[in-house]
Amino acid sequence: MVELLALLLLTTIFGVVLGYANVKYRVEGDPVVDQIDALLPQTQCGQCGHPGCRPYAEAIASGEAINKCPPGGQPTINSIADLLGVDAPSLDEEHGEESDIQLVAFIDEPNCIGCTKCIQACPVDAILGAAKLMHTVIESECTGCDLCVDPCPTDCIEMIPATDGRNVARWKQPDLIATSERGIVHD
Amino acid sequence: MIKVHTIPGGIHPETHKSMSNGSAAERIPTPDRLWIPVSAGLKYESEPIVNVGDSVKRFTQLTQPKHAFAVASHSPISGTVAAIEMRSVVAMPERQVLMIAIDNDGNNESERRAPMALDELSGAQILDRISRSGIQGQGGAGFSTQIKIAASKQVTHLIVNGVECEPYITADDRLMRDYSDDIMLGIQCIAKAMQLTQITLGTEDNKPQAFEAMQNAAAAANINMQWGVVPTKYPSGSEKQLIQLLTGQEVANGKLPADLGILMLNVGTLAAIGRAVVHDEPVTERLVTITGEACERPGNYWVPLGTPIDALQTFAKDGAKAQWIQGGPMMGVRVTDTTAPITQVTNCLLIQPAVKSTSEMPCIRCSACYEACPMQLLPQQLLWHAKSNNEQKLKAHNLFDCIECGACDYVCPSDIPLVQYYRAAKDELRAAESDRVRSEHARNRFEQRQARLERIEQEKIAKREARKKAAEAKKAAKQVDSDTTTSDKPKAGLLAAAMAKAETSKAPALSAEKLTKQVSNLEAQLIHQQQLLEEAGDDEKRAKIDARIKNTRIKIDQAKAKLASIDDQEQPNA
Amino acid sequence: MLSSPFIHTKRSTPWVMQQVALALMPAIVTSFYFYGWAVLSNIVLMIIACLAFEAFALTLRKRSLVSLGDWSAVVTALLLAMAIPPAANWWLIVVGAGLAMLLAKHLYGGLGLNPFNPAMVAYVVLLISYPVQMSQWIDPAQSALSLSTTLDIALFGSPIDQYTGATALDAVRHNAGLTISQLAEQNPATAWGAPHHFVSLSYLLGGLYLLARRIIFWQLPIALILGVLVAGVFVYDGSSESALSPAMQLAVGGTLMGAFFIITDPVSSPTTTNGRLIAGAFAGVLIVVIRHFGNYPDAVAFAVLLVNLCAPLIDYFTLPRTYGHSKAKRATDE
Repeated sequence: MVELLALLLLTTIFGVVLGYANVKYRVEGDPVVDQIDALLPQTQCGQCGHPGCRPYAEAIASGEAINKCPPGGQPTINSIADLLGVDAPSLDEEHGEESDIQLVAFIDEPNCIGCTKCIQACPVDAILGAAKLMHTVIESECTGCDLCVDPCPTDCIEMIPATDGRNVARWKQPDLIATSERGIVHD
Repeated sequence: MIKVHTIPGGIHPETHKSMSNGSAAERIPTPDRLWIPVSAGLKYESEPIVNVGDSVKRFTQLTQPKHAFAVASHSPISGTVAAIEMRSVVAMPERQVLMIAIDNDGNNESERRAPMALDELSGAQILDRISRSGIQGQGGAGFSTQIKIAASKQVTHLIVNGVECEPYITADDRLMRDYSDDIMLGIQCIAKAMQLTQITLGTEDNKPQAFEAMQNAAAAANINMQWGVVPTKYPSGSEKQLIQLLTGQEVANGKLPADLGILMLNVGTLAAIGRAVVHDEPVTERLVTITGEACERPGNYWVPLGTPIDALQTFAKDGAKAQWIQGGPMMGVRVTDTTAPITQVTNCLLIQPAVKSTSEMPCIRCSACYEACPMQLLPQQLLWHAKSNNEQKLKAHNLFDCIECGACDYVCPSDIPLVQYYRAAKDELRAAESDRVRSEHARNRFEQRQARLERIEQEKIAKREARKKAAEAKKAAKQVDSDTTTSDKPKAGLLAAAMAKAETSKAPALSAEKLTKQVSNLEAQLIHQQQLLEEAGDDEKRAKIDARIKNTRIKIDQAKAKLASIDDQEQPNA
Repeated sequence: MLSSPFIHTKRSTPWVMQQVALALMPAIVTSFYFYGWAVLSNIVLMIIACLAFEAFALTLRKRSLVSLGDWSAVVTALLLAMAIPPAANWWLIVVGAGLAMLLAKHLYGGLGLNPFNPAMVAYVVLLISYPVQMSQWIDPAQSALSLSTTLDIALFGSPIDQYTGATALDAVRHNAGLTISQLAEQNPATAWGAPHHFVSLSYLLGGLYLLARRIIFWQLPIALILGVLVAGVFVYDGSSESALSPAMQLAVGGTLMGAFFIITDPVSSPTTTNGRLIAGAFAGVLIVVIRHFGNYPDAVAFAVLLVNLCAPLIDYFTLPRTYGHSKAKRATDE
């Protein structure tokens, strides 16, 4: 009888504690989705098959493959894998190839007829212009998502390497162990 | 002599300085064509202000800075601008920069200068002369001297850096011996312009002649200086380390020497300042130590800025096989393209024999690197985390405090290219950080766009609803009119009409007051236009103005009509 | 794109290893004088076995055999050969070499990645697995072993019993009731001037050479010696039931070998200055504690392994303060 009471008491206490904690420490929203979203490159390109990065983050949180983001490439896959504690697969080439060079859209302005179709396609409002007026891409705002290229009726948009510092040459790690030729004088 | 403090770490490589410091500096024959990079401070942009075909004299300004940190460049010779095109520089072998080619006409004409005695110049004039002379730090880093001075408002103490701790280089040594007067002029300029109270020379104990020359020059110029002779050890000449040696203070993380009241300038920079201020001569040449195991006549040479390294090939013993390094062996840059020109940061050209390659062995954690690090970092831990690209650990181990002096690399018995690992890791972290900022920005813009589209959609729906209601209200009102006697729901009809009225009265946001103002404005405009009509000469103009007047009249009528309708609405309430 | 610096010290990892091997020479010569060919047979067999296992491991891991030339296997072989009893059986040596090279070194990724000193791992595993063979020390009071006797014992398994005697640490452990001075009269190994004291002195000599060449840092050996002396004072009361005198603690059982050649192995020891002081002192105290309270006669190997275990922790808590920072950061993830 005592055992039963003790058990009852314990369950009650812990029930209260759990209930309290549930109210007190409630987390609004899904933090995992936020965390995944923070790791995605935010190009909003839709190459993963979702309308933007956040929807893809939500899809990943509910179990979709994490290797569908070409703009993020392997680094993004690795960090999402790290976050979720799973093995990092390589990029699913079906969705696009990873590029070493970051591209941005460029409008060949003489050919622009001012149709605003690219402006409507741009997910980050990086194209400036109005109907019947020439459009131009604000390079620093362009994420290189490619979405404006197809809608253009005159094919005047092309993707060119960014010149705003995204592609400056960086120091590379030397090849690991026993392959670096340095030409050092020993004194 | 002041008491010299100690610094942790450091190394003692063979200095090889006696190879090149035996005789006074000579001049090399001026080459036929010079290549002047448009942006002298390569990271910050300037633009050319000469065109191809222009003839220039010595000291003619060639470029205008666009960025605050950029500096102007001036022609070192008289001649013609032969080309402006993209070429390679040593400092950024992976990237081409815009350069101006000057063909030497051999006349050696100079632009007229305005030399002035120091006494006649005010502090502001001194600073002005410095800022337009395109001076960069001559110690090797090449930061804009004008900006360095501008950022040092609270400075009271000038440290003159004559340490030159890198092996092989003797340009500063020779400069202090042979051009100490220029250096003293520079010191006096800075002291006057910035109202300094304390001046200290820091030099290494392996340059006794230079030290003596400086002492004599200071006595002759009547400058009260302190003298700090530091033991020969690399990297004592690094800014942070020399401050620690001479004052015992450390520049706090994220702060500048100016926060300690200290401004440090290299002797070469001071000499350039002296010439720029007193003789009004911008920097167009520099003293370069040309030396190395494969160098034919090691020594110090005055080289015009823009001289292609190719023009100096005669210094190499076996031309093709030698490898060239710009700067010292510890922090220099391998010359991969010998068409690249000499710039203000070229304190040394090191010509070394080609040697057989070494390969990286595993780290045995011997801690020699840790003992050598002047910044008291843990190089082998940094290596470990750099290899695994562990951002948090790299930051926790203060990767960004690394000054890339190469001391750890020098002592590593396993020949691990530590500095390259750190440079790569730093670039990686910087890129990751800017990617993060950019993607955060893109996210915000995407979300704001989504919100805007949503809002526009909502507004459309609201308008449609309003129109629908208005139509219904009209219908209801008609119904009320048509069967006044048999109406079942007159109240409902009235309600709908009232609501519709409220909706429509919201739409014209213009108040009566505004409209009145608009009318008076338009009337004033009308009068003005009529005046113009009277003044106008030809028919074409008159026709145009006529049209405008008609337009204005229509606008006035419209505005008045609106005003009347508002008055009608407001009257019952009044 | 290749980065500066373009000059480099002449010191290389193989050179460092060679210097350590060179510094072991005095001890090898002294041991040869007292124990004869028995010492050399250990060394020669061990070097051959270690290099063979290293080559085997490198081949398995598809690495270049060039790293055989880094001398690290030779140094491990020398240390292990000197630590085990002279004229050890060939199979004992082969097992030891295999343990050192495969279990302690290549299993962790080879040179530079082993958390424990390979020679000490092998020694400890051998000691636990073959306690009898590992305690058969030749009694140097008898004459040194000839080449043929050595080969008989080492290669063909002739009994070694007739040549062995109790070591000093054994003598203390197994002669309860006597005072230390009585013990010294009964067993010359526990008196000052015993042959192994000269071997210990030779290690000191080699260690001083390494210190002078700045190949090892002073903090580890000095802290270890001080640790042994201080802890030795606490356990010494003059009877053989307690322990040897603090000074004698230093002279027996490879304490000095441990101080200058084992704990100073950079791969498995802490890397910061303060960390080295802590690790050395900790090892010194552990040596005395294990000798006094433990079940095994010698303690250096166990002490070193325990300190190796703590090395990352010690490093973690002794991070230096970087220039310009107000205090040392803890490299925590948070």
